[in-house]
Amino acid sequence: MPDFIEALGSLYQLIGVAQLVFVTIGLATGILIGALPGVGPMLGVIMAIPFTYYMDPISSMALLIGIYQGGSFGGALSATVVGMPGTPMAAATLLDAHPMALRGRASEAATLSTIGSAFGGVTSALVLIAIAPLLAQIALKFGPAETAAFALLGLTTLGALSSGSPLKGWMMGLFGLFLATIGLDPVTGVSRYTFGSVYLDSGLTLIPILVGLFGISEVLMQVERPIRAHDHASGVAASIAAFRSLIARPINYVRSSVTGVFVGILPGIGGVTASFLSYRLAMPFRKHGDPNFGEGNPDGVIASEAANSAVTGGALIPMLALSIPGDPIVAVLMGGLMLQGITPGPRMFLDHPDVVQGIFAVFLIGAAMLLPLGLVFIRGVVGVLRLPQWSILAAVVMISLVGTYAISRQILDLVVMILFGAIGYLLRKADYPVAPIVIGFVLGPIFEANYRRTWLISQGDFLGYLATRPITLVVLVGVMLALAFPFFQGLTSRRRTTSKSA
Amino acid sequence: MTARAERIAALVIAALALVGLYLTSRIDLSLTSNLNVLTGPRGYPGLILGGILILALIVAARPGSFPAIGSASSETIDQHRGGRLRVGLVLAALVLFALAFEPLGYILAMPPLLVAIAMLSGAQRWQSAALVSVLMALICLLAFRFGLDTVLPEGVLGIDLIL
Repeated sequence: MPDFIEALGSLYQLIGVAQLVFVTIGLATGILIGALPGVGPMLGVIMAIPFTYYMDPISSMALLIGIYQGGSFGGALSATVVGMPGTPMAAATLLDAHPMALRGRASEAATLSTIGSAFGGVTSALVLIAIAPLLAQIALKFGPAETAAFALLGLTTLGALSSGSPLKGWMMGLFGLFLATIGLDPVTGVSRYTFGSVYLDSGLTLIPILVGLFGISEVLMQVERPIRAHDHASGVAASIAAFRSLIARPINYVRSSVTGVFVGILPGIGGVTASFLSYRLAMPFRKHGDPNFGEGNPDGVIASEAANSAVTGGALIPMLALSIPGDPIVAVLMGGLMLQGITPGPRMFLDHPDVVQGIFAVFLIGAAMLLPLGLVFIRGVVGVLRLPQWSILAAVVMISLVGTYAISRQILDLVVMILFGAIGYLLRKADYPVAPIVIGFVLGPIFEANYRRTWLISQGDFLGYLATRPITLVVLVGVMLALAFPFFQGLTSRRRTTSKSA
Repeated sequence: MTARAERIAALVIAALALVGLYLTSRIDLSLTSNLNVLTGPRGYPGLILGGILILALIVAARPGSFPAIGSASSETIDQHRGGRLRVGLVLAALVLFALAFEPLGYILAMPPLLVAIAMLSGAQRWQSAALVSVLMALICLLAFRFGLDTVLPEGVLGIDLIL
């Protein structure tokens, strides 16, 4: 405990004016793009990645984390104002926030969302600062077998990212792993799938793949089926009265935030599940005199928003301490760190303690600043929702192209980006998830290096060697469970359907 | 439609995995020695491609519901066709941009692309699309040139000399 308090006290020393400015820009950008249906924090973080190439590691994380936090909250504002969640995470918020707006309580609903998000974010920041270093300390004792097993665990949770079909999630994850093998073999230096191209010798890079799979494919999806601007969006403003909820409903804030952090730590589950789970947990505690859940209950708004914002800090814990990105946006953040030459994982706590502390600091400050900034931007969101879609799509295309080109100054990067844009579009049309590709690609080099090192250390007796590594065995049992879980889930729901129809 | 597309995609992925396995077998091992079959330059990607192939075949073979072709109304089919045509045109515009970016330069290549994207994604008047596109392209140029100290392709105009 004294270490934790000391760590908290020393965080402010790591933050300069530049980092404060970047976290503010990130939050503001995140809130606005999070409010735009079809854009969301993922696209925002991806668009910002090329800019971070020119920054120091802490500033780059300040910008990206700001967008992540702001974007996770921004969706709630469009859910309240126009009844359309800007992000999937805000779908549970919509259930009560929009009915509140229809009853003339839009400002109160938007303010409750802001308070809930800030509360969840700060709670998750404190848990992150307390737990991540402890987990990293344990992980420092891991050898290649444990690291490979944890990476495998991260990969098997990809099934959870594929709604309805874990097989497709795993297939796409393996596709990401395969993409990471293109280039020179890391052990022998043999060329793999390069066709004699010097460009491919160094392997594919993350940015063109990311921007293509998420940015360009999203543009193509929206060009095919345009989303209308919300000309009828009515105005909202901050409501001071909503602050009374902190005294009237403190348990809901705490319970929902803790739920969000816990779900965030578990790889592959994410904000949507967290917000609905937290919403469900809040239902039995409806206050006397409040409307029913789904009809404008303030506790529904708080539960959903506190939980989905708390996921952000929880999701950073396995990424920073174990190098497991359990969430697609966190995988992008991990890519942003790797672009700076820093590989997340336990070694980062030893080799770059300043960066780790800097990330903690910007995360905590970002979560706290969400409250004042969110209240300011409640008004601005209506203007953003009125922007015509074509101007947003043109801006996304421009930033994608220029940002990708500016990093390497290679036209082939643009070609790869456009190719992955087309691949992402086709996969999404066929209902295949693209997020696992990114996680597989990011985890690929870590998994390959440690998997092959384990084989070399075992000197041919792979199973015998694993038997001497209890942590690896425990993680591998976790892998088996993660593989089996979706099938058990499918069987249970099928049985339930059968018994209902009977 | 989705179940059908899902199965077609699975078959395409399976075919690509087979091509990948063939390419894996062609990886040159003449400069390496004493490699374990599961960990060498061929073994590891071979395992991954094998996994993709198996999963793709399972997805392609599992039962699904397939709506009859022609069940959609002619209006819906026209909308789909129009949407796909726009997607094709956007992709073509992006490829053209990639080809023209360095020879023509940023100033000449970017605004026409943005106008094309704007018109294909629902802009009603080309004048407003052109105005917004030129403004956005200029702001982006200034942000990269002065904010990030990055020179974008000058092309035939040699714009960086002016800036």
